[in-house]
Amino acid sequence: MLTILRDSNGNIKSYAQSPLDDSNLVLGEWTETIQTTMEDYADRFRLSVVGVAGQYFSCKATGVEVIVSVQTSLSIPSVELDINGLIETIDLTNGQAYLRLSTETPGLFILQPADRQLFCAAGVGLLTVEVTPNE
Amino acid sequence: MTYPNSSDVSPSQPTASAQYNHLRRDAIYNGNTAAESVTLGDFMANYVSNFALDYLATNRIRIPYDPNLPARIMIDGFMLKQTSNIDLPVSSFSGAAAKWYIFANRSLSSTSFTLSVNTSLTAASGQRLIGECYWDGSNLLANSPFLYSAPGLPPADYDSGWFAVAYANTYNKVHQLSSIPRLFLLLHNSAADGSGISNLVGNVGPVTNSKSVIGVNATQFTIQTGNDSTNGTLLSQNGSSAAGYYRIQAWR
Repeated sequence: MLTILRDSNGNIKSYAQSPLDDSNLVLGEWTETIQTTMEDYADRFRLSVVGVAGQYFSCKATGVEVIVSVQTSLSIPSVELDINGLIETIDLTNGQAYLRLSTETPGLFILQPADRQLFCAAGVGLLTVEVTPNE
Repeated sequence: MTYPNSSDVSPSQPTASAQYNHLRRDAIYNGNTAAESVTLGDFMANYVSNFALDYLATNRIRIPYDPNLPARIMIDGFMLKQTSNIDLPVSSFSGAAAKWYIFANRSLSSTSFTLSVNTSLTAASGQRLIGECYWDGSNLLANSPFLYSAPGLPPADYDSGWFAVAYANTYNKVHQLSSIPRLFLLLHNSAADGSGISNLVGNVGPVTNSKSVIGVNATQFTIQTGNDSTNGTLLSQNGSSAAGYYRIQAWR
């Protein structure tokens, strides 16, 4: 059984697979439980680079694009992705799409789901890609 | 309970059956009755003390002898004590990589015991299962001998399990220990099932102003992840993260 923690706006803040009722529901947070596993719930929205998710990814400004994998286990045709605060609709094929990030200019890409009530922007649902100067 | 039940007898004093039975109850049941106490032998059947398992080159195991703390064990009701180092015989391991189980063995006409290993964990008559080790197909892994009776770190009194985190957030976890834990760990993993590298979380970003993320009182842990989209949940030589999963383990 999985516990989902939502903030006062209904956004999914966290999720945990623990039999303990250990949440301190401050600031209007609330929980719900569903029958699934951590792994399956993480697969609802996963952002990764070269198979790595849940970690910061850094690369040099070589001009070689960084390819981000966007995956969901939900049967939906597209997802809205928040990239540095801009919302972009990503069309999915069999629950997956690939997003190409330019590395021409040093900078930071912060990627997360735009619909925070449907998807969790934590765990493997948030990805930071930093393009560092090519020195 | 009155203990002992038996009392001294004087020379030439007739000994009544009650005196014998009191003495028997004292010896076997610690002065109690069979209805309320197991026998001393049953009580001590799993006794083992002062054991240590050392790796002995090459591909052997030793129970080192300390005359002040000799290893003691009860096997099939026999009280045994080592009087010198006890070594596993050479060439005890063979075959493919596998977990091997370590047994203490009683020998006829001996007050000490020997060691043997087997891939089966079933103890035969005259044997006590005391531990395990790992044979990789060529060698006994030096740090693999593990003694079941060793006083290892017990399971955590509080274990949050893995929970998803992101930078610039606060997470409260009620531990229900009713006191400040004496020891706790905060781990980070990039995989929801904890199958990746578990990093011990110390200070997190921003790098120029890194801070610890976790605090605890007698009620709960409070975690405040850093306001840093690159290192907000983990700042480590093994990798950094602004998301991933945390797990708290605490000991009372």
